Amino acid sequence: MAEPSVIASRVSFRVGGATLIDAVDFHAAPGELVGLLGPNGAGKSTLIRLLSGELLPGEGSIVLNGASTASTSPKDLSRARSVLGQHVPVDTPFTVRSIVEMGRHPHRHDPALTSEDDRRAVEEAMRRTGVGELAERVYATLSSGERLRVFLARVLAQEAPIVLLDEPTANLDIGHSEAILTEAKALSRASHTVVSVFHDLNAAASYCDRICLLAEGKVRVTGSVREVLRGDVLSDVYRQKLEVVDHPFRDCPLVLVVGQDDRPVPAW
Amino acid sequence: MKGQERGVSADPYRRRRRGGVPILIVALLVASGLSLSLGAVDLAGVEVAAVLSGKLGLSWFGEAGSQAEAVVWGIRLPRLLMGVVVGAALAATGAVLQGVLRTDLADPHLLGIGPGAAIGAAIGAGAGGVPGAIAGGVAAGIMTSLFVRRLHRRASADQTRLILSGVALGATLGAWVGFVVFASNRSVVPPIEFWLLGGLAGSTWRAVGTATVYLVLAVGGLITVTRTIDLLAVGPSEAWQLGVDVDLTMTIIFIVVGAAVGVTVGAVGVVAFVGLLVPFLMRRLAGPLHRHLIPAAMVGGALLLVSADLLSRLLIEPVEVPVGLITAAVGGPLFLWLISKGRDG
Repeated sequence: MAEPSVIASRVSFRVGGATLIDAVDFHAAPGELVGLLGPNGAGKSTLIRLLSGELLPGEGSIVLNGASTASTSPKDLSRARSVLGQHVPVDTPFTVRSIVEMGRHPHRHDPALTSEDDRRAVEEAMRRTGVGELAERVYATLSSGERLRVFLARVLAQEAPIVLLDEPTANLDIGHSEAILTEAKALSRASHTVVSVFHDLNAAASYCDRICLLAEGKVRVTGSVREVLRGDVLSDVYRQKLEVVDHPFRDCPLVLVVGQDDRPVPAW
Repeated sequence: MKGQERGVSADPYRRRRRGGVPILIVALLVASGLSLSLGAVDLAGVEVAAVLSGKLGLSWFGEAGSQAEAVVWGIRLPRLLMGVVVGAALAATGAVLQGVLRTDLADPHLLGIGPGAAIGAAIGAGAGGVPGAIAGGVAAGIMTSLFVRRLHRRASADQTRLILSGVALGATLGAWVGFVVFASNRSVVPPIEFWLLGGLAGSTWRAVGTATVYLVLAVGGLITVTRTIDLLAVGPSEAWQLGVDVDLTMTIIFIVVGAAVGVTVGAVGVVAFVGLLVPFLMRRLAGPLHRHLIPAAMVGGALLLVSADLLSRLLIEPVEVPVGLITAAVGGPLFLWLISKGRDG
């Protein structure tokens, strides 16, 4: 396995007395798709925002491609990593093509010029995400699935070696979500480092190479899919009776909800 | 093929832009011609042409009379050019603010930047005439603009709250313009209605020259970052993901906008709604990309202000009404409509 390009060491992050991330160690290398799992409030999104450099850790360090996020300029960060959040904008007036072209911003030396590389990357990104035929549509008129594909195209056009996805399939139907995850997997196979938050345990089981399971801001367990997705561990973290069996069609585990844990559910 | 519905052009706005912008330019030329020939003294087109060609050392249209020359060259042409540069600058700054604040409701004057600049401009006018007014307007415009930037940070994503804060700020600062004007030497400092409602009368060549130099620098600076403004218009976190230092960029943009607005206020007072109305209309004509929108808005802003100024002279002859009354009468209803329809209706 290649050297990790994303390394978080003893990272903590606190806001107003609440510890959202507590002494987390994490790494991911080119060629792998690493899933971040955990119940709501476990700190998955916060960790992605820390990895992207949007938030800076209170303690510990995050190193992307050998450079600490704390000492990297926004421009250099944007060449190192791309980010796809679960909340893509809803109301921008731009056309689809304009938004995908914005993904080339990190690579422009002269902001007025569009190079052959830019054109090729934009066309390729739109083709791979199937938004080519929407190119001249106004973004605000698209469905939520189409919007997410447009922003995935923008991420592809950015051509950053590290790709951070924050629960990209949250609002998608099963067909769209499989398509996005297939693309994420393909990126990892093309030597990108892909880190993605997952809500759906079985989607993570199908697509991830490794999983990092978070609970209450700490890493509960990290390792291969089969090491992490175990009935006892998951039942404890999610406070549900969960069983793990072999997926009948795919070479991965399948998580089944058996029933409610007898312990009290967390208060809302 | 959904992509084909809007034509095969790579940019759905290209045809509208190519048809619309030349029409606007022609309209601006027509309005300019009318502006030079109509007013307290009506001049024939030939007389205006004679003055202009005479100044270029040509005599195609015969000798110009001395009265025509005094009116066209001494009064109306500088006034016209002031209308062009100020209208262009107000529309450009309005387009930039609407982009980076992500709301159609933004206008440099409705956000309070204009009234703030007017305080400094009125103080400066007392100290040093028009150059003093422009310098004071720039200083106070930048300060007010940075204050609006702080309000924006606090209102974060809530644009309506920001606009309300701006309107409240403008009302407060407008009162202070009054205090400054009434406390200063009334024979040197223009009256309150000039500052709060604007006026192009009395534009001198010197004032036009000074304003033009500063506005070309400021608006030229904004035009170099149109792609960054596009990214900010999608959203601050999206812009940040693509390498924009959002905080620094926003601060610089607000400083430049404040300076440009300050120049216009020092030169012609507060003319509200140009920066609201024109970018709104031009976005429908030129599309949302700021490299197309800002130049189109500059032509549209010049056209609106020159036309409004012409109307202000002709509406209640021989009285000249403040030009800001005309722009407000046109722009106010749009503002009301935009608020009542809510976001993206």
